[in-house]
Order: sequence, then C-alpha cells, then structure tokens
Amino acid sequence: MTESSVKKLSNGDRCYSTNGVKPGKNGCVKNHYLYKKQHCYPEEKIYHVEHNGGLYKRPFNEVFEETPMLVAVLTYMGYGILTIFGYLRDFLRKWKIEKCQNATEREEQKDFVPLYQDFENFYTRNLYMRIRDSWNRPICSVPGAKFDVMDRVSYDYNWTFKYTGKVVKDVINMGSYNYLGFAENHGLCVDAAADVTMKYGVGVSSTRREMGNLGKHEELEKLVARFLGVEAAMAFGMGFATNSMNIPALVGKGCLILSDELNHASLVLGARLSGATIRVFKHNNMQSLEKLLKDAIVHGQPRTHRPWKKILILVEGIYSMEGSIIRLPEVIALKKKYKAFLYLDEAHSIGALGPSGKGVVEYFGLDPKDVDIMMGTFTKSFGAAGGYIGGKKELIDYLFTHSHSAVYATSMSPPVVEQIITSMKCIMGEDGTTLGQDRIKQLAENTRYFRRKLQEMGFIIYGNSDSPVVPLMLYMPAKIGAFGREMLKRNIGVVVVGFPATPIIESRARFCLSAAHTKEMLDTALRMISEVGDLLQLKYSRHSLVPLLD
Amino acid sequence: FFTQAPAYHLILEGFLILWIVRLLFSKTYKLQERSDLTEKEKEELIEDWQPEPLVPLVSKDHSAPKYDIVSGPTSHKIIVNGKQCINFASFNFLGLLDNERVKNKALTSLRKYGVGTCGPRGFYGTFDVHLELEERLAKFMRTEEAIIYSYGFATIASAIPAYSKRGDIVFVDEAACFSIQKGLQASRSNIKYFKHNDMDDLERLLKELEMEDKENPRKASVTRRFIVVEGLYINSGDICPLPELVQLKYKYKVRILLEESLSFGVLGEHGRGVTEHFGVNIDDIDLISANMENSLASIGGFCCGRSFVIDHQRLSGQGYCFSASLPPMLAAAAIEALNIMEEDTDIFRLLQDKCKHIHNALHGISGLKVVGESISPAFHLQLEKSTGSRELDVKLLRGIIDYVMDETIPAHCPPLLCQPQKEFHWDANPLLKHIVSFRRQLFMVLNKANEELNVVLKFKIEGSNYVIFVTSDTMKCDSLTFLEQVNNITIVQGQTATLHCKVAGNPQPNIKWLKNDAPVVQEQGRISIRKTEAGSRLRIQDLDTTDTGYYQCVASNSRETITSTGVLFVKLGQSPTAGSNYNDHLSRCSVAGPSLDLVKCLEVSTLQHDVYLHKLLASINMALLQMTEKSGSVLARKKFDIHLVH
Repeated sequence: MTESSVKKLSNGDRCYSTNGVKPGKNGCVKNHYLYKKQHCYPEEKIYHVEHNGGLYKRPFNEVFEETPMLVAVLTYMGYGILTIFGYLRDFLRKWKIEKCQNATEREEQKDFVPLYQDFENFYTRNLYMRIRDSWNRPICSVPGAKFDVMDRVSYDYNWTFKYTGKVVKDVINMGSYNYLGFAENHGLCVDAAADVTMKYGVGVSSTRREMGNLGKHEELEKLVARFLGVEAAMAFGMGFATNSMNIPALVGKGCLILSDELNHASLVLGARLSGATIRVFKHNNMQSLEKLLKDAIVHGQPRTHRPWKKILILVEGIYSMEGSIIRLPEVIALKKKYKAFLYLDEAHSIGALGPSGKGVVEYFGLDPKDVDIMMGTFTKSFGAAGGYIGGKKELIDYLFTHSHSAVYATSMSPPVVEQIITSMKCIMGEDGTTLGQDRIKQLAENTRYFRRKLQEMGFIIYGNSDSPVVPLMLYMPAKIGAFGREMLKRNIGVVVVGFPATPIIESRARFCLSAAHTKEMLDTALRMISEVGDLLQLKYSRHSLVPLLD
Repeated sequence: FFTQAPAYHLILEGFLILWIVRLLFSKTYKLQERSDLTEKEKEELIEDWQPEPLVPLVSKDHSAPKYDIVSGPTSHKIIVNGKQCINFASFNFLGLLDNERVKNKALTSLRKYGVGTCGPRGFYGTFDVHLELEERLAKFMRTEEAIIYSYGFATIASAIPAYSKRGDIVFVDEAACFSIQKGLQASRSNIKYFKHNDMDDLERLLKELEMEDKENPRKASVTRRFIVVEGLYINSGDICPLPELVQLKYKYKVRILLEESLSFGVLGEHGRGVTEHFGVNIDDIDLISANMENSLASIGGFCCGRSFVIDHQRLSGQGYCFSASLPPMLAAAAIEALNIMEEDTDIFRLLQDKCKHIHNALHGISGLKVVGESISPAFHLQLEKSTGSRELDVKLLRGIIDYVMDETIPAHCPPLLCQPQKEFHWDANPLLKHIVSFRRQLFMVLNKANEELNVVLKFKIEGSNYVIFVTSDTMKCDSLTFLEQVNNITIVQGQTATLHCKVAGNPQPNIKWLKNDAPVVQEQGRISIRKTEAGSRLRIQDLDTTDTGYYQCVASNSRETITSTGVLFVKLGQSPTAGSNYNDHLSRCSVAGPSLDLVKCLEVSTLQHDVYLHKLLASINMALLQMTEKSGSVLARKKFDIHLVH
C-alpha cells in the first residue's frame, strides 16, 4: 500500500561511514554552521548542540543503517523470482490453463480502447494479490490502543474475501496514527461531539463562502491560531485536500517549488496542480537543498533566465515512511538566507512532537513566525479529520478569498470540529487538567522505550529517535506478508509497506506509537516482534547496542 | 618548379599554408564567451534577488473578506450574523440534515467508534461501517460496486486521474464544475471542451478525433477517451442529455464519466439520479460519482459502477489511498439517510413538484431570467441582457440586493426575514458570469413583497430548503371580493388589449389600476380607463412590447383594499411561438400569460397565493428599475417601462 510518493535515491548514493552505520541521510549547511563531523555512532549520545554552533537545542539522532549486501541481493532475487512466476502465470491465464479471476470488461465494450494497460496491472495481479490480506483489514471498534479486527478468509488466493462473522478481539494497535490517544469512544471529547451532533446534525450542505460558515468553524480557527502561535489559521475538511488545493493558490507559473523527495502525495499533487516548476532535493539533505536554492537564484528560470517570482520549499515535519524529522533549524537558516518561503506540513508531527505538542517548530525551540505556511492535519493526534493552514493574517485572508476549498468544497462536519476543539484544548491544558500534558509525555517515553528496545533486539530501525513513527526494515517481499500475518496471529496489528510506497528493496513494517499504549502493551508487542523477528530472521542490524541498565 | 616561381609567390603561399594550419588547429571560437560566475558574483546575485511577496499585498483600507457567520445548525431556519432567516442557501435538498433518525444513528456510531479513523483505508482505517455503506450505495444505485471518499470535492477530482492519464483524451462540457476541472488538470490529459449540452458540437469533436485516428491507428489503439459530464449542472441547472450521450458513446467508443453530486437523491423516481430520470441502463455509464454532502446531508463522496472500473481506484485513487478514511459516524449517518430515501420515495416527487412551482413563479421577471431545468433544486437568476461590462453587471446585481436589503433591514421587518447574503457567487466559467444565485434573489423578492404588502407572510417549508409555500392568515375576503379577477392576456404587438376586473362589496369601492406597481397613466387615444357596471376596464390600443407587465386592479373602500393582478404580455411578430409544453398548459389552464398561467395549474395555489406571487414578481421589477436609475446604467427605462410612484 502506498503512503508517500517516493522517488528515492538508490541506496548507493548515501553517505556511508566506516562502521557500516549510515549517519543521517544528509549533510549540513555548508558555509554557515560548524557542523564538521558526521556522527555515525548513535549510541554515543551525540548532541548536536555541542557540535553545531547552537543551531540545534536538542539532540538530533537520526539513523539510517545501511542495507546489508546479502540482504539486498536476496531481495532483488526475490523480486526476480516473483516476476518470472508472474509472467508464467500470465501465460497460463492467457491460454486459460489457470482461471482468470480478474474482473473483466463488459461484452459490449470489448472493442473500446482498453481502460488499463496490461503492464499497469502486472504488479497488482502477480505481486500485490499474493499478500493483499495484509492491507485494508476492516476493524469494528474504536482505533484506540487496542482494536477488534474482523476475521476474513479468502478461498481464491486473495481475489475475494469472505467475512466469517468472527471478530479477533483486543488486537494491540500499532498501526493507527493515534499519537495522543484521542481516538476514544468515551470521555470529554466524545461527549462534546455528541452534544454537537444532536444540535447541528452531521453535515453542513454548504460551503464556507455561502451558508456553511458556522460559528464553530471560526472558533476552531481562532483556537488553532492560538495553539500554533500564529496570527491566523484556516481549517479545511480534508487533510489531503488542504495541500492539494492550497499550494496552487500560493504559487503558480514562474515560481519554483523545492520539494523533498519523500514528500507525501498530497504535496506532490498540489505542486503539480500549481503549474510551478518543481525541483526535488534529496531527503532531508540540506546540501542538496542549498545547491538547488543557489542555482535557482543565480540562473533564474530555465531558457528565459528571468528571475523566479518566488521560491517555495515544501517539507514535512515527520516523514511518515522514514520516521525522520525535518532538519528545521537548517531549513529556516537557508530559507532566510535565500529569501525563499517555507511550507511545513506537520501532518504527523503536530501534537506528537515538542514539549507541549506544538509540533516540530516547538521541538527545535524555533519561532513559528519563521515558517511562512504552517500546515497540518487533525486526523492524527486530534483523532478527528481535516486539515489546517496557519500563518500571517495576510496569508489567511488571501486564502479565504482564493482557496478553492473555501469556495467550492463543503465545510467541515460540526461534530468533527467539536472533537478537534475539545482535544486541542485538552492538549493546551485549557480544560483544567494535565491530561494532555501527560499524554504528550507518555508518547515521548513510549517512543524512546520502544525504539531503544527494537534496536537492542537487533532490528534495523529507521528515523529519528524522537519520532513516534518507527519503521522496521523487512527488505524481502515475501517477508512483508509473512510479518503482517504472523503479527496478527499474535494479536498485534501492524502496518507493512512495500513498493511502490518505498524503494523497491526497502520494504518495511511500520509502528506508530500512541500515548494510549501502556508499558505492558508495548512489552507484549516487543516480545511478539522479537519472536516473529527470529522466525523470519529479521534481526539484520550489524552494530551492537549495549542495553542500558535502566 | 620552385625555382621558377617568383619569390613573392612562394612567400604568399607559405603564409597561406601557415594560415590554414592555424585555422585548423585553433579552437573553434564561440559567439558568446563562456565564463563561470565567481562566488562573489553569485553572492551578489543572491543578495540582489527579491522575491514577490507570498501573497499579493492588499491595501489597508481594503478590508478582509468576512464570511457571514452562521450560528446553530444549517437547517431550514438559520441564524446568519445573529438574525434568523429562512435558509435558501444550502444543498440540503431532502431535509435530512436535521433528521432525528440520522442524528441518532450518528450518535450511536460515535459512541462506538469515536470520531476519527486515524488512518487511511489501507492501514486500519477501514471500518465495518465503510464496507456497509459501500454495499448499500452499490445496492441503491444498482451497480456492482461503490467506493467512498472522505471528501466530496476529492471524489471526482481523484477518480478522473485514476483512469485518464497523460496522452488520453477527455471531452468535457464547458460548464463542468470546479472539481471536475481540478481532476482534469491533475490527469494531464488532452482536454477538449464542447459547448454546454450541445451534442452536435460534441459529435463534431468526436468526428475530428475519428479522422485523426484513421491517420494514426497505432496511437489510437492506446489512447483512452472519456466524456465527462454532470447529471445536473451546478453552474447552470441544466440536465445533461444522457440518452444522446450513450448513443455517442457506442458510436465513437468513448467512456462516460458522470458526476451526479446535484442530481443524486433529486432526479428520478427513486432518487437514483439522471440515469433513472432518463431510464438509461446504469451499466452504460462507466462511472458515476456523487458527493454525500447534498442530498445525503453527510460528508464525503462516492463512485459507483462495475467492479472492473471501480476496483481500480482502491489502488489508484489518490484521495482514497492517501487520505484518512471517512469518520464512521458520518458513514453511519449516510447509511441512515439512504434508509430514509429507500423507505419514502415520495420525497423525490415532492421535491420535484416544489422545484417546478418555484421555478414557474419566478419566470417572467423582466430583466431577469431563470436559468435551468424546472426540476432542478438549485437554479440561477441571470440578467437577461448584459450591460456590456462585467463591473456594471456586478454593480447592478449587487445594487438590487442592496436596495432590498436597505428596505428591509429596519426594525419593523418581520422576524422571519432578514437580509440576504451580500456575497455573490461568481463562477469561474465566463459563460455564466451574469448569474446570481436564485436563493439570494428569492430573499430579496420575498422581503420586498413583504414590505409592500404590509402583511405578515408565513413561510412554510417542507421537505426541501429550496421551495417555499406562501400563505397568509391576515388575508380577509369578507366584504370586498373580486367577482372577476384581472385576466391574463398574451397578444401580438400593435393590437388592442382590454383588462377587466369586477368587484363586489359595500361600500362601493374605488378602483385604481397599477402597472408594475406604478399607477397607470392614461394616454390620449391609446390608454384609457373606464368605469364599468361592477368594476373597471383598462384598454390599451396599439400595443407595444413595452406594455408588457403586471397590471393590478386595486379596489379600496374605507374598510379595506383588495387587489387582483393580471399579466399582459405583448409579443413581437404574428403568432404565438410557445413550445408544445407551453401550449399544453394554456389549454389546461385556460388562462393566457407568459408565466403565471402555470401557477394557476398547481393544486396548491389558491386565489390568495396568486395575488402574492404576482406581487412578489412585481416588486422585483420595481427594485430593478430603481436600481438602474441609481447606478445610471444604460439599461434605464427602455427595459422596464415602469413609472415611479414616489
């Protein structure tokens, strides 16, 4: 399944260090900051604050361990074998030796131009279909720390599923983006949402511009602005659309977009729809970004050599597939030096990072005013749906008139808005409790604990040590399905991801930590992961981590 | 040989040879000397570069746009900026938004699942409710499969690029809505616009393509083609000619993608949309997309069709794969709304009846025309004739609204009514630039009428937000009554028209004639008013088209005043040119008139209703006129031949 649109550099391009541990996939700002040394020993407790001229106020440990050569070779072989068998089976299907399970075109339309080209579906038919049961598993409870999964079976090799009616109860949920545990069916938020449902109903049936601008929406926007520490904010009904419909309102022809190669599909779509020129820099690599910025300003637009109208840098706070955190202090330094604008997508980081949950800006102790466009979603930490954009008042006023979403799209559902308001107030401590603060702390603790334990077990874990998104590398295609199934057998729901959401050899499992996870749950999960890890031989890591005594 | 040659010759040749050698070995010279910029120069360039501001600067006095704030639910009655109003502005066609059953179902779901899903469909964001809703929608629409999206706007905008890629060809109606256009933009296909609802134009384009295909059959065999149309166009209120489209589909082998956001739950006997309306086999349409935000009064959208087509979106629909799934409570609400739609199919008929009613009632306002199908629950009032410049048009339209607003804002304004929305909704499509939304106009008409009549109108709203019934409980018909209402006349230019009215009552009433609310001024030899036995007669000779209007007979005595209105419609040319449908109504209703005849046919209308409707329509004329005077527009008097009273 796909989560971020990826065109990632091949593994060989990365910075290697001598002991086989890749340091952060990036360098530093060349001329400005005294960031001389590549840190390759995460266990050394390296604090960038010591080495980096005060740019980082907190430790920044980001590790991407190199793929072992043997594993890489075996993975490619795996895909090779799958492809050969794919062709063989296609051949058999063509000669009707194997039953073709595909849905087919209507008889009446057989002579139309085919709706899909054959090779488009090769991957789906021959690779995805084998492990299709690892995704879209329906659940029938609140997606909290534990959920209930509907049992399903397939009698035709995953082409169709039958629901047995049974329910697998109390599966530990390591897959949902429920960072602060606000996906609940009882408590303050739900009660508030229930009242609003009875008062307002669930829909609005009008757009913001017309009769869909409820007082609730305005209340939400004021609260979001206050929460983020920006002048104003605007909320939208869908996180994906927040990106894809607002970027075109901000930049257009003659503008340049510098986009991280691992940016989410919505940012990519927004950039494409805008009509601006798009250039991609290596993931979280500041040298690559600086080079692009410099070249862009020096050379101007291609062919005409006119200067660019504006340059917009698109980055995310936490990358959902890598677990990496954006090097925001360096990005801001670059943005200031080159007078570019910064669009920060905090879909995963809002609520999940920073001492009071205000995202990656607070995590690094930066000023929100330095980020021109603060974007984020309500889906994850707030347990609701939708997205927002925060920034200067001029920006928001402009968006109110020019955003496609305000004019053409139905406004947000009132109970959803209420859920966001209540949960946000809870995080801010405005409900008079320390519940929100406790959850943020709990999440940070869970993250550290879980990441450390996995590393100790010898798994290859990507990403920043503070990131609640934890990718565990599986590499081989056969292990994608196996890991997902084995974990579910042990009552743990995990997300497994393969090509095309990741580079072809870097298939992985992803855990999302939540403040709702208790230590017992994490320990159970870790025990099971270790068990399955031994079973599937997933403990690839070749650098030893000395278990802490604590 | 060398000795024979003169020395100078040898020297010259020697030079020439040397020159050639030099040319051969010298570097090819460039027109432009390439020199890389030094670091310092680069620094300077970077220093010099000044980007445009992120958003255009607006002057301080240009105040930020303020949306009207709605407090409370957006049901039939709505509180806009603190004032209670009747809601004619939301797409809650079936009135399911504040349905208790829907709310309760949503609440049950909320108590079970919470609000958010915390994940996309692939990663534990699929709930049993989603599967149920997909199954129910497929069943309701009688298709094999349905797929739901979490945002109405993103539905068609994601569906189009899932099928149509770069190099493919899409034929699209030029009035297509904004989300279709975004979808087309994202698909990066080759887009060909055909004239709105013009099948000949579409066929012309298809033929052109056929010719091209013959020249390059190899390319043609891999170029997918699609027709993208809306069932009911939000930009014009028209219905697409689906049967013709299906014919073209098979003739030219093009697939049809149909957007039904407005027609789903509105058209057809069971609310299945435009396919049911025309009786077209739903399998002939490759993909139907609609949102659940209008009739279903929830959030989100869906696509339905054959599994062969729909299933593809589960991996290729960007808005499906990459976005968090629909909150289960919203899906549960949609399921309950579907239940209601299936149980009570009368609501669709009721809605359509009301649409027709109001549509007819709004016809014939001079200067403005109603655009769109009469069964469309959302339609536009358009300026009949543009002033030529967009600004002037906007000014004129805005002025009409402001005029009525000014009139009705005062405190004596009945509490049910309030100011219409100030903002106009201008569509991006240039064709439709003179459109002002029906709902705001209606506010205005109602307000104006209300003030002039000086009675309290009660608005009874049923089923749909878009249709009103006008009733009155202050209307008394005790002593003064019309024995004969003012007749409606449709007549050709140059002839003579006579309007009668007969009144019975005690004391003897005094009768006045008004044309479009202004007193009729007698003209020597042309316009005459004569008292008859029990009433009055107005005769107009040598009719001109400018005589068209609402003629009102006002009978008053010391106790009360009653009015009756008739319509005089003066046509150019010789014979009545109305369509068959129109004639139908004429024969059935035995009244003649451009528009109001239909009103009389409606079972709900009584005498009083007509009077009010006439009054409503007359008042809009008035507003128009006064506005033209104020704005000094060239439209002036020619268009609305109305005399000012005040």
